[in-house]
Amino acid sequence: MAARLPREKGGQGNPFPRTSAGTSTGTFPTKGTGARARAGGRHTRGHAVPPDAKMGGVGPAIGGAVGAELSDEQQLFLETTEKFLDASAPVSRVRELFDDPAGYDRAAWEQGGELGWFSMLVPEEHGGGSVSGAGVEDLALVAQVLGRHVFPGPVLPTNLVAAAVARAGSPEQRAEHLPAIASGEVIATWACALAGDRCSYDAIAVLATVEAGTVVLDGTVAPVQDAHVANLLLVTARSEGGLVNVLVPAAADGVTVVPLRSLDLARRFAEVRFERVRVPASAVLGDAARAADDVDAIFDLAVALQSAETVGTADRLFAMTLQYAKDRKAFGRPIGSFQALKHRLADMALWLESSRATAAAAVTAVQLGARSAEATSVAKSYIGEHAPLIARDCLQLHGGIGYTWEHDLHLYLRRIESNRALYGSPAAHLDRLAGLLGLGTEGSRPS
Amino acid sequence: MSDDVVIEPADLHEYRLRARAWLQENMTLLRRRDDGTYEDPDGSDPRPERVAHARELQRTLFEGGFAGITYPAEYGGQGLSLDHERVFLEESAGYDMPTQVFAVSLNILGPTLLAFGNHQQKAEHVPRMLAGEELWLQFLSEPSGGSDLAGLLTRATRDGDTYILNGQKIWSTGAQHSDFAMCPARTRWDVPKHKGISVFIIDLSWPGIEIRPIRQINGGAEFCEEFLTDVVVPAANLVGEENEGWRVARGLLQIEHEWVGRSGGGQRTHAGVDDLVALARRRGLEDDPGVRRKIAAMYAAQMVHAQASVRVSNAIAAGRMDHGYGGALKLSSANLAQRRSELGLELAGSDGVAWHEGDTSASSWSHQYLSSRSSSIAGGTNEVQRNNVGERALGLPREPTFDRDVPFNELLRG
Repeated sequence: MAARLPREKGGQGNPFPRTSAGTSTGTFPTKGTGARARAGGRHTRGHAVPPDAKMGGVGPAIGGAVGAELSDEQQLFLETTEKFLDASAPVSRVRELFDDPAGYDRAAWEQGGELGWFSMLVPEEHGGGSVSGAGVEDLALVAQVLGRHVFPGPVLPTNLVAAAVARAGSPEQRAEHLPAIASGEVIATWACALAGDRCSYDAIAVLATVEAGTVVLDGTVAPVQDAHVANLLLVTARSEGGLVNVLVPAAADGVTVVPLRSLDLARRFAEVRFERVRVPASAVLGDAARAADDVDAIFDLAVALQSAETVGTADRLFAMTLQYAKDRKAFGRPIGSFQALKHRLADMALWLESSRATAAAAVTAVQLGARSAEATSVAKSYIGEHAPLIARDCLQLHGGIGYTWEHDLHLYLRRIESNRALYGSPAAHLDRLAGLLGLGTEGSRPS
Repeated sequence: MSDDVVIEPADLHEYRLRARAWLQENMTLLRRRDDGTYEDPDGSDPRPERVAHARELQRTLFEGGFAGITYPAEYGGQGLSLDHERVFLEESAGYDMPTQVFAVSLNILGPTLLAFGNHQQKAEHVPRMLAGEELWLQFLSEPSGGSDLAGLLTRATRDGDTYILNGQKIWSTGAQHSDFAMCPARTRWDVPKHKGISVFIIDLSWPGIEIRPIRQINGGAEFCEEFLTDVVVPAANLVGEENEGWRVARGLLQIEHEWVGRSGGGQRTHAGVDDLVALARRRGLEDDPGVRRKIAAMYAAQMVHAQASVRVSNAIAAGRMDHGYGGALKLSSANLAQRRSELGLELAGSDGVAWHEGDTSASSWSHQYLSSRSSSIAGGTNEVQRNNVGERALGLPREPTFDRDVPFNELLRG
């Protein structure tokens, strides 16, 4: 039985091809030079990439407080996204949504769709496109900004399903689902146990059996992000022939979605139960022999985007705490002048910059399909350990006020701790990395 | 040397291939040990023959156009980027290189002279440094204080066209093999401590300079102490303006911190964990889940440090990040060196504390462990780095001080 994710393979090509047409430069893409900066900053779906745009660069994909080598288009896009969320999703709005049954802001979702949030991993012929042509890198910019705003809603899982369909879908599946996802019409999520803490095929408990030309699903998977509002589920199940990915309408007979309570108040999860859920064989995504590769690719993408999001959340939390350490006075001086606190803030700054660097490396590795399992496990094992250290110490440095419900700090703390446990715990990623390093007998790919 | 998938711009990759071909043609490969690591020709205490050989190797690099990769062409360098330098270092791993012997000269003193020296000083010394003819170091710490550098007591007294230097310096790396030092000394005592310092170029062959190696806990003696007695220094050797030397010394430290952070300070750095994996196998620990995770975490920490080094160094070079972040890299580098050697010693277990004569694969772990104790002290302690990051990079206020606006000769000292 498959015990863990497989070893890295060389030369399997780019799992998420750049979505704009034309000027691929192979393994060593060069920085785009000819792209026009978009004047308005508002991107409409299908036109996000200027027709004369060159390929995006390989520079650091996520910027943040200290800036990074983003292209002019990416910089403008980042600022536009930031401004949009500052206006439409301030923390007060995020708090209002705590008690909302859907848990996210439908108007903001639709505007996000206009900004291209769901089209970046969708090929142009299906209504997609991204600002630089490097969709994963551009989406990581969005993820980072969403993290800074602890933004609620199924942006990440919808994009994972879009990437899976774009990667492995038949022409019919692509035509059916991709335009609807890219436009924001369809919300999708990935019902797969790898979204939990274990990062192991063993955790997959949904069974798929073939009966008279149809596929029947049985079993339970949890947690599934935003399943309560999803129209479309990508279900990863196990079958006699190995793993299988199936596209299932959330409204299909036998699908039950049980909302869960969650540590992260700005994000919803559910348990999804499948009882004799019957879908046609045409709902199976991709070639059965490559299903595990598809799962790995989606998983690595999820980890890279989650890493970018966590960095955004930690960045905002740290900035908030740094400001507090300068403003708050005790014993006649700013508390940040005390070395006992200053030295901890210095350590946090190091962890934050390191997290930013490794998240950017993971995003680039996934974009290019180059050693992405290693890069994402390095990033998640590091960020999963250090972002919580930052969050916990940020609370401590705030003192009593940081323990109050009214202070926003706990929203960020909750997101960071929640992300630590999802898409593989740091320990699970270390196990995967040990396997990739050829350590021990468990390291090889099980047959 | 690596066949790994590389993700880099085409021009950088062309440079990599050119460097690879040149190295194959002109340099000698090191012997590889059974555990996959390379023999270390430098050790922690290079002998005079080794230094002489390194000078020849540096000359070869210079003639081949691979010395001073980031130095301006005007002073004999190649005028390329930090990325080119990193690529060359990656490609040269496994070759017998002068990198470690010339590390301090070319990564700290050369850049400091380029930043603060006058044209004549640069034209006279920089090409000779690059060609392996001049080894340099800095005389910073004194027995009375290391972290409080501006509190230095070495005295420089103006005498016509010269200055007369008297005092004592300590913890200078490789002074016994070096030719020149950059030496801050106090030229005024009646002003606050930062305002009375001047920096001089000193030829170590001059009369009145006595150099004594200091034996360290790892048995080596790379650090030295120096006694300066009536050393006569021409006024032309003043770097920058008189009494404005703190700016030079601080600039030197920033250059040092950022370089140590990004490179590990010229020590042979470990790109992978092959040696730790080999050790775990030798000790029968390779299937222990805790050991597997510790080695994987070490690998991740090394990768993240390398990723952060590239990102932060480039951002500092481009002016997008404050120099104070160089202190964060140095902190990271020190933590990494210590954590790695602690893990090695832990995995080595009893073999790491008692071994047969000549069993270097066992003895190396205690040696690495002892050597790494210096990484959080040398070149600025971790505590000083945290102050640098906190105050310069993050803009936090300083602690109240008792010495800032007080003339140096009225200060409490000792």
